[in-house]
Amino acid sequence: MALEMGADAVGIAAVSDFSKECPEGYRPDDLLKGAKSVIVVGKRRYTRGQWMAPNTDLIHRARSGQSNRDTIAATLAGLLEGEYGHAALFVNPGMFDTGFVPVLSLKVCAELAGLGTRSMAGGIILSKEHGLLGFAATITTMDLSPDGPMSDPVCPDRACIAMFAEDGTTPCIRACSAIEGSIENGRLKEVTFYRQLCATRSNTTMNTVYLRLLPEIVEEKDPERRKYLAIGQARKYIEDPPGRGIWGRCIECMRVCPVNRRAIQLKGAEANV
Amino acid sequence: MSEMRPTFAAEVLARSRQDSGLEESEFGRATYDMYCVPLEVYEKYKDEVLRLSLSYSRWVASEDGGVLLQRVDQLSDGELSERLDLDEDTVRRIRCMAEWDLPMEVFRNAAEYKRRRRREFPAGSPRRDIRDEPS
Repeated sequence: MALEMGADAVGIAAVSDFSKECPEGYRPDDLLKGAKSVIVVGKRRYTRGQWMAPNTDLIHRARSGQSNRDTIAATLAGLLEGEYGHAALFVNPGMFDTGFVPVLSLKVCAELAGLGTRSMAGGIILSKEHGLLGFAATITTMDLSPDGPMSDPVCPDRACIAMFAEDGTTPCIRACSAIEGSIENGRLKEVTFYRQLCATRSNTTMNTVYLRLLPEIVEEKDPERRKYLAIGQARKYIEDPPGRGIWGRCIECMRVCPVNRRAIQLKGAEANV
Repeated sequence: MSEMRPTFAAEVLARSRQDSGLEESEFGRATYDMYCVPLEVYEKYKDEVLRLSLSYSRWVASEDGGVLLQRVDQLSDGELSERLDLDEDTVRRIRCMAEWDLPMEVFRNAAEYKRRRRREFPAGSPRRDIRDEPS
């Protein structure tokens, strides 16, 4: 049903698998008492054309219009309750506990449902078939047969293994200083992610950044400079919807990822890739 | 003389206190004290809170060779409170401030970083210099 509604990938995780991966308070059964299963919906976040667009604003805003990921997860919840009588709720990436902490890690959900594996690129879940996906999840008390995690990691790609052996780096590490890590015997040995740095790139014009600017506006003594600071180019900081998560105004690590590039098939464009 | 009637706002405040379940000592506090920790506490712990929370995420390969990487730290507020011997509310108040407590320059640099990457690595996109974020 999820696939018929337009999901690119769907998988099921067992709630019992979350205890090792998530701290207490951030597991599916902390949100829904008696939860047994999590259905995870994966949806491509951009069209191929958007991947090639030079305008960050266009890429970001078009994404919100094209994805029915949350609707699919909500519809699944309705089906589980209406047809099977099991309680269900859905979680999307906009749901946060406090600050930058999500109510539930959708990356862990996707990993445990076999939709992909963590990558060098800041732990993003990569799908071999679809590259970068956005996720939503439906938690239910219904005991469904889980898919479980994949048996082989998607990252590192063979091209990255060779590059790391040669130069001690990978395309994503080279692209972004929020990413560090190492590869050993063809597998990821360690991944380090400066999430706070990524957040400034992924949220560059979120209006929460305007709140960061606010104390500096208030402190400015000169009224004309204060006015300029408040409504000059920095007003861009209030032109986006409120967001506390990592919202994806930056996709530089994925633009150079061989797995993602293969999945989105950037052909027909200028060959400068 | 008729008894003074409390203002409507005072009535709402009294009802909100009743429903909050908070201790008497929590009522009537300054706004800063309701939402923030003392600055010296914030300064003392903010770096450690960031380095141990999701703001700095680290995973290592599983010892059993499994496909799932194992998280290192990336502690919840509850776990941080045990590690740092602070109460959970204090940790949360420190973290929620520290997550945004960066110089504005970092956000300018973010826009410049993306613009530079697009120019140097167009990946099929036009080579126009598009400035769509503050810089």
